[in-house]
Amino acid sequence: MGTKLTYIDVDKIINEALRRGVNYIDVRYQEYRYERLVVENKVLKTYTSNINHGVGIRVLVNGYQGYASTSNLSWTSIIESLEKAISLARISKDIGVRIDLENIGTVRDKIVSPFRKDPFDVDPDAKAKLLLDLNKQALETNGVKSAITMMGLQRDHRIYASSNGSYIDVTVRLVGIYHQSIAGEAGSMERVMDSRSRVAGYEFIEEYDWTQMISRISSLAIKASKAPTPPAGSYTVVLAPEVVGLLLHEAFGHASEGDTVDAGASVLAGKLGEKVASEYVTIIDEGIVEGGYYHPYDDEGVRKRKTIVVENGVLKNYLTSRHIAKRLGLEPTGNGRAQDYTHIPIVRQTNYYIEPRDYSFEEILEDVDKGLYVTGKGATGGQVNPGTGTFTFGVGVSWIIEKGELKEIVRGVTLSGMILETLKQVDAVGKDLEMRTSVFGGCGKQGQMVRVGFGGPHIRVKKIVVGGR
Amino acid sequence: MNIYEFDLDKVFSKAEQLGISELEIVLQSQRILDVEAVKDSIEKTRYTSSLNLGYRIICGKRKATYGATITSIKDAINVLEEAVKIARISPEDPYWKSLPRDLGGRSRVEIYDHETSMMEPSKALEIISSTIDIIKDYNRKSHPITARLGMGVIETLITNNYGDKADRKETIAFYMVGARAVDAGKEGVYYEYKWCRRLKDINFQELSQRAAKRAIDSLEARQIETMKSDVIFENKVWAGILSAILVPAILADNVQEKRSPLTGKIGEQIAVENLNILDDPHRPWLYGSKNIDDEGVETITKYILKNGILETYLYDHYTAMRENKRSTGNAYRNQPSSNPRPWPTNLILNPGTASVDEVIEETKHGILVVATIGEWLSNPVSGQLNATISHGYLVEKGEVVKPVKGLVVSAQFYDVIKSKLDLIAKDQECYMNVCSPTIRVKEVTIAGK
Repeated sequence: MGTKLTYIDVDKIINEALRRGVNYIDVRYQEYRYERLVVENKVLKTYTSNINHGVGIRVLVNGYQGYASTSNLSWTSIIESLEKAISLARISKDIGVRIDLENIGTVRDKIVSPFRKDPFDVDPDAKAKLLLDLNKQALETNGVKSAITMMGLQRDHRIYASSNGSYIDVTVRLVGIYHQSIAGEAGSMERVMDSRSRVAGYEFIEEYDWTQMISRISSLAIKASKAPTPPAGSYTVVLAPEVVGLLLHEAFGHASEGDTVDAGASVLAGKLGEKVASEYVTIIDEGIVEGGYYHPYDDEGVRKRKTIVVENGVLKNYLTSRHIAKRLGLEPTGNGRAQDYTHIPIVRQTNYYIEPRDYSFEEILEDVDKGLYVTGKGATGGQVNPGTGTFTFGVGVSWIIEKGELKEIVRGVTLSGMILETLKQVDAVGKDLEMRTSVFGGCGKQGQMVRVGFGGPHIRVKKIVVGGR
Repeated sequence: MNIYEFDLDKVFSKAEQLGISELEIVLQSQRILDVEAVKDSIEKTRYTSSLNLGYRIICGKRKATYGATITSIKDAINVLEEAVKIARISPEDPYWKSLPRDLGGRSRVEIYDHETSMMEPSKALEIISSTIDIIKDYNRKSHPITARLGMGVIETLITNNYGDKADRKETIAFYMVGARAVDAGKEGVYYEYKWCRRLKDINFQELSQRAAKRAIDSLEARQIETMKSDVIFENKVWAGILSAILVPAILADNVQEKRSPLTGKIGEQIAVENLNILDDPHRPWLYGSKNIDDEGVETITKYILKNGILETYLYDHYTAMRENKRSTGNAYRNQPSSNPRPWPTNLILNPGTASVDEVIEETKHGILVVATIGEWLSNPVSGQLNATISHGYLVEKGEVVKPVKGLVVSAQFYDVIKSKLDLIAKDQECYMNVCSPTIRVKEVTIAGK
């Protein structure tokens, strides 16, 4: 199923641009298909389906950049956009800055992320029925007052072509289910949510054990609604993989993005080769990782490989786009990404994680006399000021640790701190790497949302400030 | 093509042939110009143009929403055929009654500014270039990180099979500026933002200078010990907190689905008596102002909290029909294809009488919070407020004494507004569509060292 849309003739656009005197052009065509189903308290409230397409044109004229995009694929409209882009580049000449793009070789490739069953070929009825059943199951749990269950299905088809002769055609499918249960009485209600998404076809939806995920969420919501908030203060904290992913992405990942470094807005500026974390910490950004998002190429035609950002605590590299690579005198790392065809690519993380070491979860807990074990179920995200390294994020259900054992369940925990101090306080890294991605959200920066993968093993931090009661 | 050139009668006849019982069409065009500088040079200029279609299709009580970018009426009809397949197989929604009737209305609100819509890209480049200079010239310690100016025109047409049409033409403008301060190995940063409907409402000079000043102040900021203290939340900070905690709690869908701590509290005193909060769509040039909502229903002004008493929740047509009420004109869509849901237009906390300086003078021992991060991580279901103070000042004996940072404010929001909020200043600023004066709260836990 799906309305067939005609591809545009990118070669014709490129030739037209060169005829008009541009020095460089890249053209990005995108067709984005997205479906979301939302069941709230046994009723299918939303079944929404979208197909968006369009083309974005970037030109360099005498070294100055202009960008224009349109959703109208008629030749007239595309030429209008090309003219706009050229005119923006020309007016930048008096007042803007020259943009140099690091040269990359010509690449011609076509990649489709692995899948067996296209999610848009599946009967809508089957999707709605599965979701209604799962939602009903949650509400049958004694104590659950309200439940939302969502399904998200994505097919993102991008074509990149440039006057350097590159032509890259990538299609990524991503599917998943999200669930939130709310339990408790007015005044002490609590919500717990979790989701699983995978770069795959609809077979992932059919094969994953959603029943188990939902019963885990519901029983945690009931327990958490009766749980106290821990006293505010400093704690030794053991972080679950999804929280490690969140902390790392927000508090360190953004600071390692080369454009932030170049702008002088990163706490990591000027620190290449310096120790920025404890020796147990190695941080990687990688395009394709099991469980993460699928990112073989960036939106500037650069192959994404494994980038070692931190090795045994020492800062080794920043993430770069072609423009930022040139500015910083580094290699392009394949991190020039755009939300969609309407945006110019900027430096973004792909799959960002801490490499596992050798501790088991029990060994990590063992040495904690008094502390907190925090998980992401119910976590609401995080925010950071990469210039100062201040971070804060709300985590989900947590447990008090006493003499190496998990004791009382607590809620309402917010972690905050200064990232470089926090990473230097990491004194144990587990062996249980877990990567996640999400079809329900992603990372936002400068008004652009992109899908990312994040994760890590369990880690222990000697001291973090916890906001509680 | 513009949104008025599509022959929508063709779509409605096709809908009838397909056995669709109700159909709503939303057409939206956007033209956006965006200029961005990094450090002291303009790097990005971008122009985007798009036309999006959204359908809400009802077959009996079965419904679906469907969206697409379209070029011709033929695309719109093809998309309808796809969309109806989904609607037909969707399970019935027992609460469904109908799409709204009587679209449009007489209210006129000033939301379209010709100057903003027609601005030449070269002029936008000049503005950004001069704001960079403001930061550079402010002090030898201050440097620009980024400056961004975006502006655009959005035209929306909403119609349904009951025959009425409603439309809206609006401009938007957005400015963001970031400054960095460097001195003796120390660094500080600060960002300022403004969302509005016309360029002339952006005071580039003031915002840029404030970013520079606060970046410099933060050079000396330190974390302090965990303590209980009075907290003065500057206008935009408190607006952000209202946006994160109060807004979700007053939406009728959250109330009906038992996700709001304000369920069943209409008519109850939930806040101090001098707290008045309005949903006011008719203020000229505010970011959330609009004559019609996203279902085409005429918007109205109403109190949410009057003298601390909860007066109403916010409804779109669907949630209103569920309680046999009239929509409050608060339907909101993220994009034309989204299912509408209730959302405030402009949520406005009415100002008090004291100046901000008087509020500070009245404070013996407290923290003045001018920027937080993560306030949106607060939990609207439990009412737990959490925010990290990235930029603040310690206040002693009525005077600002030194900058502080890295502290976490934790409190129960409903305790705060009922028994701890004791001063409301007369200033006012908006954080997107939520506007607030500076306020003071007594005795809150601040987690630090």
